[in-house]
Amino acid sequence: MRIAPLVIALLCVPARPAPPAATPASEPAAQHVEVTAPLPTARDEKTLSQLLSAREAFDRHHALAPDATLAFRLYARLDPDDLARLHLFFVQGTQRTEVALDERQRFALAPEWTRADADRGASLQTNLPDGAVAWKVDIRSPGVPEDRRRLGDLRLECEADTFHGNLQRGLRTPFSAILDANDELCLLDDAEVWFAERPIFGVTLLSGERRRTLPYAYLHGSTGTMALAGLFDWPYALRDRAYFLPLEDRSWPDDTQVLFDAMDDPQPEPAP
Amino acid sequence: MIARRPVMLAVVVAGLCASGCSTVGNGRMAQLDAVQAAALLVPGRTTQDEVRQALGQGTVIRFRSGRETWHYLYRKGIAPGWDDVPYIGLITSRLDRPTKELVILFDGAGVLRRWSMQEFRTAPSKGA
Repeated sequence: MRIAPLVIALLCVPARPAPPAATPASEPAAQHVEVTAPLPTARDEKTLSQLLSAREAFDRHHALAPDATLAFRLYARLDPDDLARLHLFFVQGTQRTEVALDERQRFALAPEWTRADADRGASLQTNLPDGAVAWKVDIRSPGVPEDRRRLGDLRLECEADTFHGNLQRGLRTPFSAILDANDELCLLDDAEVWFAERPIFGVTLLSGERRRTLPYAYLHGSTGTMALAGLFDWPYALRDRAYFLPLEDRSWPDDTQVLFDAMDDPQPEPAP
Repeated sequence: MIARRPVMLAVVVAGLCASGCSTVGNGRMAQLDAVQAAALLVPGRTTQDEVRQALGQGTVIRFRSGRETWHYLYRKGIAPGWDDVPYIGLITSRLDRPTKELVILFDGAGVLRRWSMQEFRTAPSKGA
């Protein structure tokens, strides 16, 4: 278990008993008291080594999204309110430095974080208990509208995460390890789960005139092996945003747009 | 007599698999088209009880928000139940078969908000 400082600042604590009322009034000097105690549970964290491995896989498969940049994103797995109290720290030995997160709880690898730091045990640690956070690789090509994703970006996220960054929680099957050794794991539909920005009711692939609305099996971890995949990383608070992609179908080009039909969108008019 | 049993079993299994369909719900999905669905499923009005009465019970997924999806599936080519049999279902569920599905979204009060229906051929997934 990690030990992290729990600091309680107590102001205006009397340094000595209050003087008798008869004596001239004098304010006791303010004191700052620090109490350090072990945290009751382990914090949700990833090693710097994992994140650097994700970057190496990102570099290796960069052709899937040549103009994209790499970031990491934190999601609340169990309680959406956790996002409001989420903080991230770079931890090395006894040093602890806060890492800024953007409005989507994303951060990038700092240039000064090196493999040597990773070898010395550096980690990225949240202030939330282990299991509270889903860590995802976040890869975005420029020019993609906010409400869409580019398929090549998502394929690259899978390559950088699965068995490289290894950010998804849970067990890894021996079969998936064999596939990964051949760089074939991200050619399987259930290799990676993604989370949309909002609760979704449908996902559609669009490439020119070609269009495919994914069967419900690809949404919400609903059926088949993709439902079993939920056993490996079951982020209950994110279930209504969860989707898989037909990674086995390589006929879709990397520039394919992934469109989301939100639960809050109105019912479309029936086709004439 | 004993030697005949595997043969008979194979005949029975082949017979069950060679015809029929599998479905979630009361079987009305087989005939349901988009026009009928639009008449039956009215956002903001249709309730879970009404859907259950019309289509039977779909496969339910409940979300933290209180919303639910009900999923109905009709697949040609395999008799009911085989997709759910351990090990055998791993094979039958991956056969390339014409499939029609209906997904209904209910809000926390049990009122229908969205629905979608589509037909496709099952895309077998190998799975990791």
